[in-house]
Amino acid sequence: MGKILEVNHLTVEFQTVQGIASAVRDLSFDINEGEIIGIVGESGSGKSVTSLAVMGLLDENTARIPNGEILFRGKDLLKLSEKELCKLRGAEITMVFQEPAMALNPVMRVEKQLQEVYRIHARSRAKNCRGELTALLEELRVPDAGQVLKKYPFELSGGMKQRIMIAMAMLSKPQLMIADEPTTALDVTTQAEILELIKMMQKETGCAVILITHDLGVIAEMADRVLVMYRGQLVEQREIGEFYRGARHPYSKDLLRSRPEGFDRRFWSIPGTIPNAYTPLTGCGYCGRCRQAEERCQDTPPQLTIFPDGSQVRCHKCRGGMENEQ
Amino acid sequence: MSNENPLIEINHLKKYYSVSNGIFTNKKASLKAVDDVSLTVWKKHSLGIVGESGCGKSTMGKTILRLIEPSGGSVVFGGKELFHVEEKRFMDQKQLRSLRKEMAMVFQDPYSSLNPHMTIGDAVKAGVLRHKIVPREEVVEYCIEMLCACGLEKEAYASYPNEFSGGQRQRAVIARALALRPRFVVCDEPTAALDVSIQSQVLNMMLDMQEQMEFTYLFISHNLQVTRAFCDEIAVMYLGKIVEKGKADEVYYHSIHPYTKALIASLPVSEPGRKKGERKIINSIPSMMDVPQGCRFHTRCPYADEKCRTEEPELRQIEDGHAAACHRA
Repeated sequence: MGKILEVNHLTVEFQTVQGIASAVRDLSFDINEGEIIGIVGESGSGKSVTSLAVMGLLDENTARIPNGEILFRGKDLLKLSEKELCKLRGAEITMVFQEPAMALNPVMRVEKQLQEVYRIHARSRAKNCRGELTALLEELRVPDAGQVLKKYPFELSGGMKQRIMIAMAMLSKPQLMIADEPTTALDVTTQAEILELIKMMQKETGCAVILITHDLGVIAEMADRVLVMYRGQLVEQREIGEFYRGARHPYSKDLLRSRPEGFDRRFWSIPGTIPNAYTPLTGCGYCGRCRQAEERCQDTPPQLTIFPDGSQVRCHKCRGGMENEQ
Repeated sequence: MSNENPLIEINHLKKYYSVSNGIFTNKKASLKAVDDVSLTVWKKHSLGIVGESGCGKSTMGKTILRLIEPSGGSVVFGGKELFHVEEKRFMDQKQLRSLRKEMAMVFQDPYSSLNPHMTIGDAVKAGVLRHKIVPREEVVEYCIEMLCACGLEKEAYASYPNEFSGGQRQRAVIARALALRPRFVVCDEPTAALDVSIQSQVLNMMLDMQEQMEFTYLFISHNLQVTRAFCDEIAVMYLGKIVEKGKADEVYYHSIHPYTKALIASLPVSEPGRKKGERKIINSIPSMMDVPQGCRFHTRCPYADEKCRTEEPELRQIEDGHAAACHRA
């Protein structure tokens, strides 16, 4: 299996009035063809910025990428011109956003919005694509697909809008789809359906998926591999089953434990909150909230340890490929 | 639970909206957002209302507090009747306003429920001053105390909402509601906008406050897992009606209604590869404008038969304290 995307030492900063905010710090990961990886972390951990960087959608006026490369099939996306990027974006790399209501154009009929993708990327006459659009929507279990095409986004429910977004992302048969919290704004029942559909489409087209979420349940259901991010850093990367059986990083363990199930009257919670992006990072990013923090965690930044099975952990207490005990 | 006192009794509560069928006709269709709901909330207990979006749970929460005018039914709060529509009895505004301090509400979206031009302190202070909760000279101190109790720093008092994250805003919104020392708090999806780890912090804080100050919560959510752990009782709502209610654990672990079962099966699995109940629910929720005949869930229910299509099931006791509206139960 070839690597479809390789991100090496990516750093993203934002220049703001309050100073420089580091959103992503020295992040490296890759994704194989046809793989689903999940990126988990709290808000502010840099997951969305990572996906925007891959898409080349960061605001050029404020965002800076001082170093790093994003290789898509060996081509560095950061070095491409806007024109070359446009050819990839929306065609070979597509994205599904968190809030479908914000991502769809409110004054354009669904059909026209979908045709646009067709016209630009599928290099086909837009006029005779209605049949294909209807077929795609039917595949996505949109009832009455022909009617839905004629509607405006506000006439559709959240789940239906998200289906349109997925259709839009799938239309050009991409090789990589990034789904940024695709179900956070939806009900549990709709969430289950949308996840099923993403998985179905992924199987069918064989495209790779980066799924960004803060819900470990969603990851468990979908991903082959999970990356845990905290304060813009990768803190753990592991195969999905291994991760749920025995996560190594204290932050991953805490995240796993804060799932609401199985508790009565009180929930397990991680104390404190994630420091904002202006706070300089000295030592381990998680040490302020970590229950096992030691003195060295305060001032020595832990390195990413690579284990024989390919998993990675950034923690002083699990160096050298040794499991640390509970 | 029958030996305890009910704080709120909701009887046959209805909220209908009339919706125009188009600009060229006078015909009005009625949308039954809350359709004949009867519930009792016991003192110092929490009742959870669970359902998909569009099932009327938020409308119900607001109607109970009379933030929306009801179309039918009655609500009795601590022995005082808030309204009884059929007998045309409504509590007058003056009395209602003094009762407002006993009933607070926490809204879903902490971004739109705080005034961006008001400091957090001013937002909390407004209600405290209006209802004279503490003497004037102690107000500031009291508000800071409330903010700290809700897990915020002292500095929050003079800060504006934009300086805060979602979790912190929600804490401020909760502090604002609890500062009135209410007896009854309606929480409308208080953690829907929050991360999982922050969600547990906020819920724990709400539970701590409940123990200290003896609140009664009406907890509205679409997540049965969270609701089960947070509440004593759960009522499951579908298209404006209660389809199942009972003790939280009973409803979650021994659910009767196919809709409740479907909601539970839709929850993400806890571990990869773990088998979960098959999600048999089909289609999406029908529009409130045309509620199906018979059992309103029959269009999505895998077990529906002829009787379900024609006859509407009553909410009836199946076991002690556990009721469901299903012909098959």
